[in-house]
Amino acid sequence: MNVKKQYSNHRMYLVKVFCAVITLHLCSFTHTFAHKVSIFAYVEGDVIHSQSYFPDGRTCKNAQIEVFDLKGKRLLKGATNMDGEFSFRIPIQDSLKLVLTAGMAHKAEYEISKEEISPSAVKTALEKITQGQKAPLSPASATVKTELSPDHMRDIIDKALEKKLKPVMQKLTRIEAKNTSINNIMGGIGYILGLMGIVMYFKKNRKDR
Amino acid sequence: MHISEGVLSAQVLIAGGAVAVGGLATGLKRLEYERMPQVALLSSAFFVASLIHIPIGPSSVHLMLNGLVGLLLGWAAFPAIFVGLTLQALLFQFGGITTLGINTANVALPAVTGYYLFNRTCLSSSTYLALGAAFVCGFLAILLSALLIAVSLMTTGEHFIEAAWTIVLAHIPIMFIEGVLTFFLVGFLRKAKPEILGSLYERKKTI
Repeated sequence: MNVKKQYSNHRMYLVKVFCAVITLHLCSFTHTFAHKVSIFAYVEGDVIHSQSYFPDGRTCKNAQIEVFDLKGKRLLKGATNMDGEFSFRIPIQDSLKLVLTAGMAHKAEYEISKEEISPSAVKTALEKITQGQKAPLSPASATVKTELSPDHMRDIIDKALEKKLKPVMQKLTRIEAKNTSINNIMGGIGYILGLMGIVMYFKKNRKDR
Repeated sequence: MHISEGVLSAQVLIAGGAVAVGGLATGLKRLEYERMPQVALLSSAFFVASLIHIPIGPSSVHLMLNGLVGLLLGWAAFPAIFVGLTLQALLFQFGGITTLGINTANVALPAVTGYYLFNRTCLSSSTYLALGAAFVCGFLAILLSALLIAVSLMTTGEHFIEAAWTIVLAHIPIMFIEGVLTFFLVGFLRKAKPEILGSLYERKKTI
């Protein structure tokens, strides 16, 4: 009887500990995460905007950002502002690599491809046409040409698109940065149990032999 | 406590990898069939623990439980921690695949140290002594991990003393929290399931 009571006491204790851990865990979701940092960047005109986040969406303040070209040469260096943002003029018309260092061994990279910076395939085609037109233009005919050139139109469309896309880009960053979901946690525990099963299976075989 | 990819030099990564492989081999060799579920349980606990954050000042640190894992598992802490870290790297992108070796070494070595220093004391007939040992084990494991990380970072050009201070200072609250956590868990296990605390050696002797 006494043993039984003691046993149930222990079980109650275990249940309590379990509940406490779960509560603590759920509370912690609102807190800050610092294992990992993410950096994300997009082009707007001739400026590159970058944003740096911790996985919970908190921004990295005053973190160092370096910009490299593909050969690993450092082009420029700066620090994020209080909102985790850092913007700079495009230094070269080539692929760039942004490296974020947030201290205590936290580091992240983001690459901006050449296509994002320099005109895309369509753009270059357009440019060729306009250049072809421009070359023989005399000063007199230039003044006549007041209607929208493909160049102008492209700029206007680009600007409008960038403005519209900005919130989407920012949201994407946040989604990309956050990946601790309950599914991942449960999945991880599932993997561990599965691994245990595999190891036990093989160990059992060896034991039987 | 997770070192990101691309921070450390290749030599440090390889050295860490070698330590991890050695520890893993020893851990798997000494792993008893009957102890497997316990290893998996503690591996899961370790996997989830680093999602529990305590925000302090500008940075925030997370639970590690390596003192507890080491105290209960001994060398089997290596496979348990390795699996936990691998899944964290794959699912949450904490740390990274290339730094898996050095991270495992940094976390699991203090765990095994804790086992050798405190496992026997936790089985002592004196409750005060046992619980004291449990607290110190939880506390010390974090301290050692922080120091090991500082050593790993030293090779990147950071000053050891400076890096060590920053990392150790940031982890002081966690040291106390883990100490208290280990204290209570060992207190509970001593009453409810003392055989879990028994080391391999001790158990073989009693059988």
